[in-house]
Amino acid sequence: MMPPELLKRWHGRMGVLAASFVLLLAFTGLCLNHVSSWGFDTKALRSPGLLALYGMADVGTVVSYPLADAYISESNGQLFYQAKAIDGCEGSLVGALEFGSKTAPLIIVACEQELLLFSPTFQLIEKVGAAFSLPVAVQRIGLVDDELLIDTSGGLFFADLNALSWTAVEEGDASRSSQWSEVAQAPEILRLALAESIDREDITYERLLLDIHSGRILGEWGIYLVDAMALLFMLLAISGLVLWRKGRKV
Amino acid sequence: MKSAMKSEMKQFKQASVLMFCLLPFSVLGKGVYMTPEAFLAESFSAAQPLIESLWLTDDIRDSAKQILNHAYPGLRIRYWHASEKDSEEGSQRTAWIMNEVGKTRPITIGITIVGDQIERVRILEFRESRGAEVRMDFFTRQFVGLSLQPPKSQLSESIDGITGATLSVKAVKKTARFALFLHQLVTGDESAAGEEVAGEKW
Repeated sequence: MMPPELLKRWHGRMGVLAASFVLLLAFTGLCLNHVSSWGFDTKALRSPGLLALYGMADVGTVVSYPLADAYISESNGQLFYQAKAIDGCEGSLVGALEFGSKTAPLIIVACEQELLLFSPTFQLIEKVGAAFSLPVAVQRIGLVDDELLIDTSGGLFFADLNALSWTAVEEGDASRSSQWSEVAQAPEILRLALAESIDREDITYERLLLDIHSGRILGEWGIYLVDAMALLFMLLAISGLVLWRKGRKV
Repeated sequence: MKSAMKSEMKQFKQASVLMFCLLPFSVLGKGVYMTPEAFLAESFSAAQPLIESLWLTDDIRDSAKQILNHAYPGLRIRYWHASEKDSEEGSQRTAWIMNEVGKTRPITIGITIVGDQIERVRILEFRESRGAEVRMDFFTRQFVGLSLQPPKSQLSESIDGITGATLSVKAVKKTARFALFLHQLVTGDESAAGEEVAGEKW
């Protein structure tokens, strides 16, 4: 059995360690108890710093690439054809272009970690990623004499999407007549439509409070940190009871 | 008295350190366990495989939906194929690398099929925080030798689950069934499989 002095000392240390967490949990718990009356369930996060905790970019940072008379855009890992969500994007959007013959055209959307092939009606045909030895990270895509060229962190490659082969090329060989897919500012009306579309999946202050309360704001490790704190509170309660009992006996 | 206090304090410190060290162990399941190249090298050690593509007709998409419980996200699937010329039956060997979501994130699963039976199942990449036990050999070896049982395209034998990894287990089972189904299509009645690569499928 631990001597009372030692127990008291450790009870004090644990109390100091737990104090800031108790205050944080009590504050967030109080706010969560009044989440509707205080409007936290409807108010959306707008601070870029807080949105960054969720891996979300500010609406103003939507990236768009022109495609004929339309735009392919990406925000927070979601791809859009005009304002319509079409698929997810592994990494940032780095290009979009039409490719293939007139009878069987393809639309290629390039994200850093994969190429997405779409039909002209934007049905996904397939995703070509690391499983097919796609050189990554893709930085831009372009066309040279109707051949698909991808510029990656490991160099330039001609891509054969039927055979799934990637042929390294010298920069000088490809740069003469290459037409790169270039980033462009989408028209104001489309940006507004995208902002509205993205806004539908707002992160509210209620979500933020819940995530702070549960530790999820720090990811999986945060949950275990809160678990550890819960164990600490239990130890505090038990050591407190033991000390109280011993104090009474004396 | 003083030495007893010291000893107890030391034990308490050790217990605290152990507690904090053990807590995060269950989040260490994420990661790349095998590259596609290594999986294919293991699957086709003797023959050089050809990469082929299967276009998904409406019928195949309907069957895929029944097996996977969701629509397959794509119109074309790639696979690796080689004929086993040395075997008496001249059986076909195919390998499939597919992504299937366990709970929220896709699991990259590699499956090799020879004849009509699964030869190996490998978890190439696991991205979720729970359920990574499906990558273990004690789980994946249960699939070896299994085939597809008509009429509901179930696996020929049941697979033991893993406590706490139910969704990941389901994802691997569904992918195994789907790969067996596709293998039958590409090695059997190829007209039903819509094998030809046609540009105007859409």
